[in-house]
Amino acid sequence: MRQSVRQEAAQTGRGGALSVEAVTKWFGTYRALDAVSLEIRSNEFFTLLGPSGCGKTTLLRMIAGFESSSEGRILLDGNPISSLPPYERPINTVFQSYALFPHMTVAANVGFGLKMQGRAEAEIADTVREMLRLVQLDHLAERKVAQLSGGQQQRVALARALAPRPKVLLLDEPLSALDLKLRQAMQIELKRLQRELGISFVFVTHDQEEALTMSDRIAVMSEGRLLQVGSPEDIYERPVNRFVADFIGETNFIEGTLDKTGSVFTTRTGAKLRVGKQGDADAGEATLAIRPEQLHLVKSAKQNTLPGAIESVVYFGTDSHVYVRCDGGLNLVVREQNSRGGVSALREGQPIHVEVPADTSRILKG
Amino acid sequence: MAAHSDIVRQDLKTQRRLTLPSVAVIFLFGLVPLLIVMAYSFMKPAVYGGVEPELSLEAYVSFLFQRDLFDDTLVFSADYLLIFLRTALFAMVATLTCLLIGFPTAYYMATRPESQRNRWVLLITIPFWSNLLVRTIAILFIIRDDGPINAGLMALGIIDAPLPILFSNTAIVAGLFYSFLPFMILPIYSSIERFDFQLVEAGYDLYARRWQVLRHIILPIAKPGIITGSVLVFIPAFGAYVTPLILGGGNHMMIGDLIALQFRAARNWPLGAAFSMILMAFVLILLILQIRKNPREALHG
Ligand SMILES: Nc1ncnc2c1ncn2[C@@H]1O[C@H](COP(=O)(O)OP(=O)(O)OP(=O)(O)O)[C@@H](O)[C@H]1O
Ligand SMILES: [Mg+2]
Repeated sequence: MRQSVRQEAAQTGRGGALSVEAVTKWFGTYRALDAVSLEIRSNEFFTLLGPSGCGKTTLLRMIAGFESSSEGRILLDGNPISSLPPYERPINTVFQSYALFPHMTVAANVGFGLKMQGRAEAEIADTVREMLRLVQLDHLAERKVAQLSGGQQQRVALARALAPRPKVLLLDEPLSALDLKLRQAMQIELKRLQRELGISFVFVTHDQEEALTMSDRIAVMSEGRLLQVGSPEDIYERPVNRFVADFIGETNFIEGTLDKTGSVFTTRTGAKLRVGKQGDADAGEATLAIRPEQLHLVKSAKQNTLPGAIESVVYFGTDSHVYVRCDGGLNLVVREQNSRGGVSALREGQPIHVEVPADTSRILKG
Repeated sequence: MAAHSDIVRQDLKTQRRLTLPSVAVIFLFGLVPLLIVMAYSFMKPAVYGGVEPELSLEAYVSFLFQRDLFDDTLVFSADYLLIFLRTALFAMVATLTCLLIGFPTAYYMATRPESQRNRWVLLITIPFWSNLLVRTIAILFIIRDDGPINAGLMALGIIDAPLPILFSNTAIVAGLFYSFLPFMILPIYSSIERFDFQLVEAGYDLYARRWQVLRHIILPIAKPGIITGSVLVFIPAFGAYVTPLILGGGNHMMIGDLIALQFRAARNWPLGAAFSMILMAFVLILLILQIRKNPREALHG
């Protein structure tokens, strides 16, 4: 009896480590990637996150081998792979549109990679069966792929890419075509598969929530450049600049100046806020960033509060978003737990004060 | 519910009435001549052409047998059968040549940027602007002894004397190939044009080499177009009349010439009609076999 894929993977821990070294990609005169350097660790769930057109797919296609790099190189477990064609890279892709072979059955799709590798019939049949069980499609093995639902096609694409046991699996927005329920189920499923199979995943998304919940580490990209690489917590709690803070979750930005001590921030309207010690922020023009859930509404002015008036309250189930218009045209969003009470008593136009706690605010350059 | 299905039924009735004229035209100009030919094939020839209205299987019998001049006994004769088989062979070789040249051409066209594709389709259809006879004579000029092919090869010193291409089997196959090539290219083009080229990438990603991608992904998906193209080339090539007449110089008869001969010089209309029926039956059998083998794919471009 052959070893199961799972056991084998767990024993060898085969997930490949990728190094992307100063990769630049020109499309004519357009620079889609600008000196991108990344280390993707073995067995890691690594996410590329960024807005549309920032170069995520381009980077993924270069790792897969569909696109050559203009400058820089890519290494897999220390060996340069930049000059290898896709069929010689132990890397498989789950395409955004799935790209299933329409003239083949589900089983033939899943077995295609193994067949091309010249594996024995019996081994192919075994692996296909195991892969289909893994994605819970064993009952549909003989269907043509056109007869499957979107979610089922997605699973076939996943099984097909996993069957040859690649060192790295690339996933280009694999969940974007699914509805919310199915997407959440697949998120959990993907995470489980990645852990069980011990394969490094490079996952592309422009959905920040998806990135935060699934990833070991996230790389935030913008306009072909890498802005920040770090754990979800790093990215969320300690964004390096305004773009990252804005892109990941909702953030309030308050413009102003930082004094020489680095602990007092003066807003445009002259209000003084104490802020926690900021290691790398310089004195002068600066932006204070703070998450909606870190702001609090208080009835009367005290230290570290800004005066304003309630503009609107939007109910979100467990919490509510309270929009506050402060002096000087500053608009803030405050997220309050509904269980704390008092939110439902808020009325439009009612004067209120917003507390900006010193320990959770961050000063950003630019 | 009842009202709804009433409307549907009413609709169907109207539709049926609207299709009536075209059905009538097809019947009158398609089916009636066919029935006449069929009827003629079962009659006896009149002396100066035409038929005697008298039932006879003579025409079909003489496809395979000859009557002995003296004692009127039937002797097996393969003459007509050989022409028939040669025709099938020519048509087959022409179809294969069309496929060999047509597939890469169609593939090339389908992989051009979308804005250029219509231009290519137009170029492919240009030969149809002139008629078959003119195009066949053009081929004749190209391949004859002092035509550009022979002149070119001699100027390059590759050959000393002109190649005798004209009036050979090669000339006929070349003529058939040239005449019907677009019928092969266009259906294949239309089946690859809708092809999602990400599938090729998926193939490479899953360890398939170039030829494996061609064999396991591109060819199977282009198959309906290949089948349609082959049928569209084979059928007219099989019944070709002008091409063998002009390029074969009458030495290499195909079934089409044979049929024409019976209606004109030989004045044996029933025999000509019988040959036509045999030709049709043969093509029909091929088509039915094809459809039974690929019930859904056959005849869709
Ligand atoms: N083959 C190409 N030729 C020219 N420009 C290209 C090509 N492929 C991509 N680009 C450009 O490179 C940039 C990055 O594209 P890419 O597909 O990598 O973005 P993305 O981050 O994947 O976006 P999305 O989230 O919309 O998929 C885009 O501006 C795109 O127009
Ligand atoms: Mg993309």
